[in-house]
Amino acid sequence: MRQLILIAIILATTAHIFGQKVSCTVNRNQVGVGEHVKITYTIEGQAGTFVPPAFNNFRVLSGPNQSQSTSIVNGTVTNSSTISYVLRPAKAGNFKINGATAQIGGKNISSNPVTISVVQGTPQQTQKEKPKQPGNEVKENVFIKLLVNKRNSYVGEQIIATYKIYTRLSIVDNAIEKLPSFNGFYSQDIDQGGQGNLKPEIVNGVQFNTAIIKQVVLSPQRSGDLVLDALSMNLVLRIQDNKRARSVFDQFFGSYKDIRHKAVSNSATIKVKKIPNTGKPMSFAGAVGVFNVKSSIDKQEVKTNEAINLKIVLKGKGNVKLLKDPKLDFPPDFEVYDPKENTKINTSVSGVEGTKTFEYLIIPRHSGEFVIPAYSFSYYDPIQKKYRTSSTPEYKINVLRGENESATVSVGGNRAVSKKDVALIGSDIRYIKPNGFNLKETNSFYLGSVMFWIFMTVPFLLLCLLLLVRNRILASQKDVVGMRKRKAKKLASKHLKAAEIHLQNNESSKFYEEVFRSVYGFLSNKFNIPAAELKKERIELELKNIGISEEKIKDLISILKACEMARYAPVSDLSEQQVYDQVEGLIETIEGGSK
Amino acid sequence: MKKQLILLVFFSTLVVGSQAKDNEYYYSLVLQGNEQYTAGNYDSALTLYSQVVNSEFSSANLFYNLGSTYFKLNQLAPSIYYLEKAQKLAPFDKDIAFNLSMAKDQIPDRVKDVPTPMLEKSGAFIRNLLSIDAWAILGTISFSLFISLMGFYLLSTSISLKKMAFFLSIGFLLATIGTLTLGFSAMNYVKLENQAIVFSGSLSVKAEPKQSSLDLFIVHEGTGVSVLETVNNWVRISLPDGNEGWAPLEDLKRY
Repeated sequence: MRQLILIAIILATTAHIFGQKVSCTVNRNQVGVGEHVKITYTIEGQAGTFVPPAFNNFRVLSGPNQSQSTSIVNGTVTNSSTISYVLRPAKAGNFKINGATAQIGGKNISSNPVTISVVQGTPQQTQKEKPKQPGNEVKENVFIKLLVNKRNSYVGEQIIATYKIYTRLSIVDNAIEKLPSFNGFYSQDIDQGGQGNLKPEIVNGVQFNTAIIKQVVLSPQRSGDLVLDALSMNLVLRIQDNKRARSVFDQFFGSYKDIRHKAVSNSATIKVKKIPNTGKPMSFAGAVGVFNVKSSIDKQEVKTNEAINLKIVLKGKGNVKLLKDPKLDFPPDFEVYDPKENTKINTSVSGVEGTKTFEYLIIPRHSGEFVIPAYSFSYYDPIQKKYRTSSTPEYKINVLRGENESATVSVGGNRAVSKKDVALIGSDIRYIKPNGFNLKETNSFYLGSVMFWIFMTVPFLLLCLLLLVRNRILASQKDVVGMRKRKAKKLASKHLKAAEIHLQNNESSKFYEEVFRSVYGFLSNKFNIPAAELKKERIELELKNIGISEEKIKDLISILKACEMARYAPVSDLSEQQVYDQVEGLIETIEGGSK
Repeated sequence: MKKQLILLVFFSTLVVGSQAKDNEYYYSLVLQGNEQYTAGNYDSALTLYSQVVNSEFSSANLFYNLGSTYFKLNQLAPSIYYLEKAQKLAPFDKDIAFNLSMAKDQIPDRVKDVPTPMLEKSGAFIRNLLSIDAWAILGTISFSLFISLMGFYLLSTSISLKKMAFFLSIGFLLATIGTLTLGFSAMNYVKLENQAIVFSGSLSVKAEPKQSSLDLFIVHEGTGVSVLETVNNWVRISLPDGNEGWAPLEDLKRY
């Protein structure tokens, strides 16, 4: 103890205080009752007084054994000293050795406590009985661990998985036998920057050298329990061989042998949840993480056919590589080229970070005022467990008429008009009919209905009725003719009687008139000929038809002539009495002939 | 003659008038449906239109609106069904033809049309020139003209007038026969329902009218077929390309 103080005094003048830390390591956690255990305290920095803990239940076989080291790197002096004890447990059980306290730079700093479990029966004895199994011993000293930063995640969320080897033996050779496949994940390796960087790490108080074999950023692609496979490694280890000390040199340097060992890591299961559907924005396209979108435009007032550059930058933590190019609704009259993509990704222990830049080249072809709508990028934030949206502003573009806008410019006298087809942008069905619903009973038509047949039969019936009426009229008309025929003689003799009275009264012209009427009326009625058409030729014809002799016809004609003459002048060749008799005879003959 | 015409007009207005009273309520339903459609509530528009269609009242425009609503709701088979019905009633409506072709574009099946013979085509064209009732009214009018000219012919005494009336009446008799033939064939076309739309997602057409029979081909939702005959809830159908087979009636809807 005094020595320590002495050393401290010596070194105090030269050394800076650096990395004040006291740590405690043991060479093994589990010992048999008769075995030894070495406990080592490492003090970094300028040590003052060192107070060891009380080693209850242990007997100190040797110690404190001290050693110091000083290193100067780039002019920085680092001091460290170690104090070690060799202990032998007195009895079986779990014992906690409290931390030691060292005064460094006027501060009391305590080391970590260590728990040692002491078991009955020394491992040395069992070693003697059983054949030695290097595997058991090696397994405790060399192993691979899979470390995962989270066990529950959402689809697309980033998980960091680390395969780490822990060793206390010297590894002569190593080769990875099987790499995990990461089924169901999208994986990106984190570059370790040179291999074989061993780092000391204390596990349960025992110091191991550790190295990262593989470190990946994983993003699950589906929900469910996804398994991270184990990684296995073939190692060649160099261990001390006590038995084969054959020569003096061997005894002095110790003899070694190389053994092969296969180290297999544990596997891990990760519970992957689906991203909730509630509150999912329309623009969500599967991005999980934290993102930010920004945009910039180089000009907002251009002439036609001048190019505009629109830049959209997506920046964030998450799976930047899988982000799709933004769907922007450019005005249809703009000519837009496919965006130039530029992706910068940095994969580190904190996950994948990066930016994705999209550069659009836009050429307005027609003048006018246009709007490039805002672009919204939605993502699911797994830490805050909600959807969030980041948006760009919308840009108003004022396109002025350029020098050679195609459609409407006329050059001088000859109008150079080039026409373009109207571009169809979308297609949809036509709008419904707002009116003109002539609602009718389905499948009931006028054709074939009762009404239809009524309208078809009514005209027919009407025609039949009409014909019937006509026939009756015709029939009755025919009857009138018959009646007239039958009454012809009566009427004639009536007229003749009147003529007889005129004859007796010596009224000559009236007598002839009556006779004329009598004959004409009789013939008219007899042959059903209107009086106007009753000419002498017609009379002759009709009388011939009924078979009256020529003589009689001549008589009749001559009487008719005489009657006509007698109306204007006295008649000489026939006496009135003769005419009267002749007419009477003639009527009698015609009446008989017509029957 | 005049009396008859007046009578005809009187009766037809009577018929139309009594119908108008009945469908005033349904007409208002259709207008409500239009409002819902415009507002984008296709579901409620559908309910309103269907109410009218189920009530035995219909018109080409109503079928058109209903078919368009089904299209908006992504129900292909009923959409095509009602648009086809609309087209049957109004064969020359351009909107109906357009929407029907839009809907038919979505059908998974592409069936090649065998071109219909020129004669059949022109027959259908002439038949479709007028509505069924228009043919019927024309037929009635020309029949009554025929009857009256016949009467004139029988009653007239002048020989030249008689001749003219006779030839005219023969002309009108032929016109009557022609229009009524067209009318009845158009009515049969609508009433016989010898066409159908496949309503089930995919329909295996069999060689015989029984379930265990051999599958001949498969048609999908929305495809139009012709119905040739019916046997115990099975129909014999033919595709426009001439393939024939049997299908269960419940998988189709005839129109």
